[in-house]
Amino acid sequence: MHSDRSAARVSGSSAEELMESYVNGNGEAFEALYKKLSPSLFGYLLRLTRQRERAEDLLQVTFSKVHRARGSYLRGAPVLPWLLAIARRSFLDERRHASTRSEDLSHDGNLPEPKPDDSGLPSDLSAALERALDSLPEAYREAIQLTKISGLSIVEAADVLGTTETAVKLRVHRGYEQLRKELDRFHRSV
Amino acid sequence: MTVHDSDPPLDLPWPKPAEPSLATSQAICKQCTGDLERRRRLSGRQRLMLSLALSFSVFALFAWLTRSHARIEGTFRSALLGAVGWGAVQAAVLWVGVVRPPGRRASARIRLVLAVMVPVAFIAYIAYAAPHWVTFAEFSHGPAAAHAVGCSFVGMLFSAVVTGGVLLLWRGTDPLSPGLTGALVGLVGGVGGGLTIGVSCASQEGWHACFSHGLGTLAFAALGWALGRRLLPP
Repeated sequence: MHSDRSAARVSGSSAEELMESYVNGNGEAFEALYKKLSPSLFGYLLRLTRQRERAEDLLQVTFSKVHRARGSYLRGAPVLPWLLAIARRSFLDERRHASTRSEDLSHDGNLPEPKPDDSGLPSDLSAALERALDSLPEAYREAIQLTKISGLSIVEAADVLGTTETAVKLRVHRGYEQLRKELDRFHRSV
Repeated sequence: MTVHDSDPPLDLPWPKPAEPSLATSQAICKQCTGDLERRRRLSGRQRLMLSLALSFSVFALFAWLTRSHARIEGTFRSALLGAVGWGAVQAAVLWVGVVRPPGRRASARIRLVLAVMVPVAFIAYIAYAAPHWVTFAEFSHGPAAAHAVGCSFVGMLFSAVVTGGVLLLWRGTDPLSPGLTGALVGLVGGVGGGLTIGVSCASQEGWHACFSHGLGTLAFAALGWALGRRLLPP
């Protein structure tokens, strides 16, 4: 019965309420929070890394940091942008560390980005859109993922990316333009 | 059919959020809920009170330690009044830029303006309050220059104590704009150090006050930005 009451308390709660409850030691609140937000977080990391295994590793690193730092969460902070910012930093840290190890570098000294799967034509519009998103430059891809798919506002996305609202709008706009071109190509080939 | 150039792609089948594997989800939940206990933590207001208490304590301790120093008449009272006023500015800077949770603070533009203009205003205040000025050549040579260097060093030491202490109080609280938050903390430390050294400094000359007591605010705003990026994200 205690479990039922606790479950009733967490269901229907906002992410911020769940986070507060988690910080106060409620494990069920964490599970509800994870269920609520992990798809957005994982989707973002998958869009950045384009490798499922790496995205899952980074998801674990992100939540590990959240768990250690839960005492420093300030009440009322929007949780999804908070988590996405931590995830992004984890991604950038991992990329920085990888570049200092002996990895194969491209001719310009950068780590080669995993190439999107170009084998075969996309079967439908969803697949074409997925491929088009993956082919965008990282900055545009991130901006569209955060605003269109994760549902952040321009202001929140700018906070996560550490840039200005104008820069985010520009990246989204340019990303859309490239998506249009790619999708036009798909439609012509169908 | 083509995507119309002027239409935003609102009707596209945007990908549904992806789910991590069950094994990963279970591992994360186990890690984050095993031995879970309530975390005692400080609220934004409590951290603000502690930050101001630290700055005030450094000032009060040094003022007390140097109470027997010879001072120009009236300067101690002026320094105290200035400290009260600028203490209120420190509180306002922290309130606007740091106390509210990340994502609910004043805009980055407002906080950036604070990070630049408050140090400038502090230096302007010091310049305005200085009772006398010598020529720059006189200030920059001989005993006056040596005194300025020593005074700067001591002032920066106080600034470092306040900045470091306040950064540690806010450690791990801001993954969104840690640099900007750190810059605001740094300028609070810089103001604290400048006020502290000003209360006992024997020289009230304008150039000395601006360089040795005031310039540290700009330096610590920059240092705070760099340290904030390392200390403030979780």
